[in-house]
This record gives sequence, structure tokens and C-alpha cells, in this order.
Amino acid sequence: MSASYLVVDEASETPPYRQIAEQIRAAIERRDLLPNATLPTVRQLAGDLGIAPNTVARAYAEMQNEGWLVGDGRRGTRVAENAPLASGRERVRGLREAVAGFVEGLRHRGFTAQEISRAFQQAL
Amino acid sequence: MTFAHITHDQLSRDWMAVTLVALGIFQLRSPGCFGSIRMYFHGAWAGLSTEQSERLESVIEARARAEGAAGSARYAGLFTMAMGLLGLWPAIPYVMPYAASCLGMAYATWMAYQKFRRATELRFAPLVRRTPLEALPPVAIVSVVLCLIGTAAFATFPQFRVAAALVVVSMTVLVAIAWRIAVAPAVLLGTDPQVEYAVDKRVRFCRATSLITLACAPPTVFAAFAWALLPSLSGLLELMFLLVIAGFVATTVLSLNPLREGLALR
Repeated sequence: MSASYLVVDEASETPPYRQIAEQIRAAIERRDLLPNATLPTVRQLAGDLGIAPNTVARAYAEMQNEGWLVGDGRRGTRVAENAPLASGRERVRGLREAVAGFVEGLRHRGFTAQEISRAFQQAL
Repeated sequence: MTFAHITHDQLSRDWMAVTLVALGIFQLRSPGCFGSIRMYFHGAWAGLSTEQSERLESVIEARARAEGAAGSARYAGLFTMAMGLLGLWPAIPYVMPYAASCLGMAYATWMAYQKFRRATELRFAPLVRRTPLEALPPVAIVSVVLCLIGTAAFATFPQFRVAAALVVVSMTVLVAIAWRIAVAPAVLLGTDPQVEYAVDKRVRFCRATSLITLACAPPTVFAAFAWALLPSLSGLLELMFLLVIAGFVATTVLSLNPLREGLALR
């Protein structure tokens, strides 16, 4: 998927508003969305994704409360200038935790460390 | 043989009937020309690499298949032919069949879009804010206003009032459909979102502006016939006639312009 696009998977266990918030957060962290970048209106994003406007409004509201976005009346919702970006060390820690959880799941399914390592190397 | 017994009004009706029936036959025989999105991408391939061209071809093919626009265009063709024949009936204002066939074509466009919207459950959304002015630039809006002013000027003559009212109704409906397309959601299937979004933007612009051209067509035909039927025109009416023509020409140029343009893909 290209960096500047969102998708909502209705079948996922994660609620749609959280999926939206996580993807926008990831786009900000990747610098695909720069500070002061204007986001689509609630109505536009809801229409494009084919979901209820309330879901998008909730995602935007949550991200505004966390300091990632700012609501600016007629100018719409924008990326905050001082978004709480994770530091390099926090990002690496998050990556390690995600990989550890994934590897743990594979070990439960019976894969050996060697098989997992080889699969990782091939995928990379 | 002499044609002196044929009145101006009869001649106008015959001309209109022949034109609409011919247009209907063309729509039936070549529905892709009116319904398919392919025509919006004539010049899009210039400057694209082989890989980009293949991606664009694949996205256009998927969208054209999902829209199934050829079917709607065929119905519009039948409707256009029927309107052409209906126009021969003297009790009907001559501009009505033409305005109705423009509405038929707009309806076919709208139906294709609606069908495409229902083609997918999982949809991708670009994180970019759009405004309706991207699909309907100010030139289009000014052209509509010019055509409305011109039509209103000819409506001061009692014999043209019914026709003028029909023209205004058809314009209003066509502009409303164009607006709905300009603000409609971007439907991206997610196979290649970047190309799909570029295609969606061009299709949205071309459809909205060609519907505005269709909206300006009945006033042009109305003004042309009224101009021909009136024995003499005042300077002001001549100016109004020119305004209508200018509006129509401006929207036509606007809607045809992007067809030659290349598509910028990363």
C-alpha cells in the first residue's frame, strides 16, 4: 500500500476509528504527512472509505486529544506542529517488541529459530 | 421541386430529429465513446514508462469493467432516438427533446458512477483534502451563469417562455449531477492506489466538466433557434446570444483540454 492512503478492514478486531488513527499516526511518523498538512474533511474521508462520518470524527477527536492533530475551524483538521513523535530509541523498542511478539507466535506454531531466521532473511 | 412551403419551425424540428436519431444510433453502435472512461486518457500515455503504462492500462480496464458504462450508454442511445422522433410533434417545444436527451446522457454517466461505487467493499482513501473546484473550476461556473443570463433574456418573448423554462430545468438538473460527481467519494479498489487516484481525479474532472458542457448545450441550441426565428435582434439580445455561445465554447474547451494531457505517475 502506498504511504498516503488509508484502508479500513471491517473484519479486523481493531475498531475502525482506531485503525484510522493508527494509520494517520504512522503516516505522520514516516513524515508522509508533514506538520500543518491539511487532512481530508470528516465527510470526505468517511465517503471515500464508505464508513459512517462519526467513526472518522472519533478518530480525529482522539488524535486531537493526544496532540497529533489540531482542529482549525474553517481551515479544517491539520497535523500539529509539535506532534508527539516517538524518539528513535522508542521506535526501535516498539519494533523489537513487535518482532518479539511475532516470533513468539511462530514458535508456538512449531517453527524453529533457524527456520524463522531463514524466512526473515528471505523476506528482507 | 420547391421547399417554400416548409416553415422555419418545421425545418428546425426536422434538423433536430435527424441529429438526435443519428446521435442515438451512434451511441448504440459505439457505447464506449460515450460511456467508457478510456476516452479521457488519449494523451495520458505520453511520457510513461512501459511499467507505468501497464499499471495505467490495468487500472483503466478494472474501472471500466466495474462501471459497465456501455450498458447505460446504450439505454441513453435509445432514449435519444425516441426524443428525436418526439421532437417532430409540433405541440412540443423544439428544445425539449434536445434537453431531455442531454439529461439521458447525464443519467447514464451517473448510473455508471453509482455502479462503480458498489463494486467494492474494501475501499482505500487518499489522505489528501479535495475541493469541488478541482473538478469544477470557476470557468465552468461562470459559463453556466452566462448561459442562464442569455436564456433569461430570450424568455422575455412570450413564444419562447415554455422552451426557456425547460432549458433552465434541464440545466439545473445537469449542474446538480455535475456537482454530485465533483463532490463524490474517490473510489479506490486498492490494487494500485496511486494510479487509481490519478485515474479517479481525471475521470472526475472530465465527467463533471462534460456534464457542464451538456448543461450549456440546450441554452445554446435554444438561443440559436430563437435567434433564427426572431426577425431582428436588438443589440442587447445579440450580446446575450454571444454570451451563451461564449459559455458553451468555454466549457467545451475546458472539458476537452485534459484529454491531450499526460498523466503524472510516480
